[in-house]
Amino acid sequence: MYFPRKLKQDINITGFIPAMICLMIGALVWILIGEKEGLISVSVFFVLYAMFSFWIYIRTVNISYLAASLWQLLFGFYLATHPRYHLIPINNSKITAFITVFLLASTAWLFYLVFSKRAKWKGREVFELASISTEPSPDGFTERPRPAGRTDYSKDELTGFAKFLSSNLIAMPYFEENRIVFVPVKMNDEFGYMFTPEKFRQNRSWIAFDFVGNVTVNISKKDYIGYKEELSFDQLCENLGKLFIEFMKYYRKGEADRIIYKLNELGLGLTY
Amino acid sequence: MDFKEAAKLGSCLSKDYAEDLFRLLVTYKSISSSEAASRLDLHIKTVQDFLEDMHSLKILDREEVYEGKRPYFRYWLKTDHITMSIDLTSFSHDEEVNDTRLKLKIREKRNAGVKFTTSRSNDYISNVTIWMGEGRNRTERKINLSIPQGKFLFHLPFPNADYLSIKEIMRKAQVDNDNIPEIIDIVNVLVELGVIETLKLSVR
Repeated sequence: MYFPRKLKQDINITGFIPAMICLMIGALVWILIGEKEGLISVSVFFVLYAMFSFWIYIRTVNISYLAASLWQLLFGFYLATHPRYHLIPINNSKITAFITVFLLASTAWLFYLVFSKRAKWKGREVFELASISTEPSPDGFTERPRPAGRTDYSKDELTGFAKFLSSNLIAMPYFEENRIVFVPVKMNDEFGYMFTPEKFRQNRSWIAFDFVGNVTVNISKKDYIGYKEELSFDQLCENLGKLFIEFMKYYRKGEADRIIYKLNELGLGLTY
Repeated sequence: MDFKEAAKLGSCLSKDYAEDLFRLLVTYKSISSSEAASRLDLHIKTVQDFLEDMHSLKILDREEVYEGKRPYFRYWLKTDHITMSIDLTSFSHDEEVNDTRLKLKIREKRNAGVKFTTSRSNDYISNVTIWMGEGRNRTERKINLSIPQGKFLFHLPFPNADYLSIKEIMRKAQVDNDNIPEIIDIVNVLVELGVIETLKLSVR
């Protein structure tokens, strides 16, 4: 199915910055010191990056970050222990073969997760879906939240829903005294969320479910101007609220996979 | 006595010299402002203003006299007692809240230049900040809201949403009918400040 895109094109390259830094450091060390040291620095960088990915996995419980962490760790070891480079001499060829086989297997796993969009932060999909049936209308923006309706759920169901949205990178939960606030995170915004979650939350759109069934929506100016044209702000807020209420209904019925299907059906790219 | 008169009387009575002046007025059959001022060692203008205020409040009577010089007033007490009674119910809205006022359809005005701050519990608006004027003359006005008012504004339709009647918004916000006067009050203030717009009904 074809859906017209209502969000502006994203040309942010934040997600590639760590890889570019790694390559630049490796290249610089190679040029200034030598080949072996260049490879060691890349190897060390990958091991550190594996730790960082594992930390994101702990925060989000998203399986693709576990796969990325494993791949980065194995790649770091692969560079450091491969007989051709002699960085860390290992006499036992079985260990090298073992690392190689596991590296190939984790590469396949990682590719599968990336291409099935499990590794994708789906904030952009959320905003595209909310805007599908929204008509253009100027000067509608206001900074206050909008009550989006009521729905039924228990506190446990809401907590489970929060874990589901987080582990699928749909919206990141913020647990408050009387509610859970979900902030959709777009691809390339993830580092902002990971490093400074409280600061990230300010001036972002959110959907809140309180513990008595009320749903409230707030769309930030930053996200609103991310649309190509001025959409009816009231409709947009209402649709975003309805979207999450629908997600909650799917989750309660045990049909959470439909949420993923709905978001992926939009056919947005893997890196934006 | 209306509130303005009561305020004037209260202000006069609160002066340090008020008791001494009344003592003179009780003692003397009639007294001029210069006599009272010299007797109490006060500035003549101070005494003159006080006596004129008392006269305007119908507590003193006066007579213009001529004694070969320019005319002046002599004052004497018109009453032995001062009673202050203010009807506070007069501050309530002019008319009883009726169906017509609750049927007024409203929504937030486009580009109102206003900031709504939500409460800690995030289920009502705690205050509204309105910026008025331009450039250096830009001023900020913050209105703190009662909880019913905050709940009401939390459910106020957005600028391009359909208008809703006050009654409808109150129902959605679950605001009690006892709070109608304060809701009407905040709606009137925000309409005046250009934050809320009302639906103009065409009369045929």
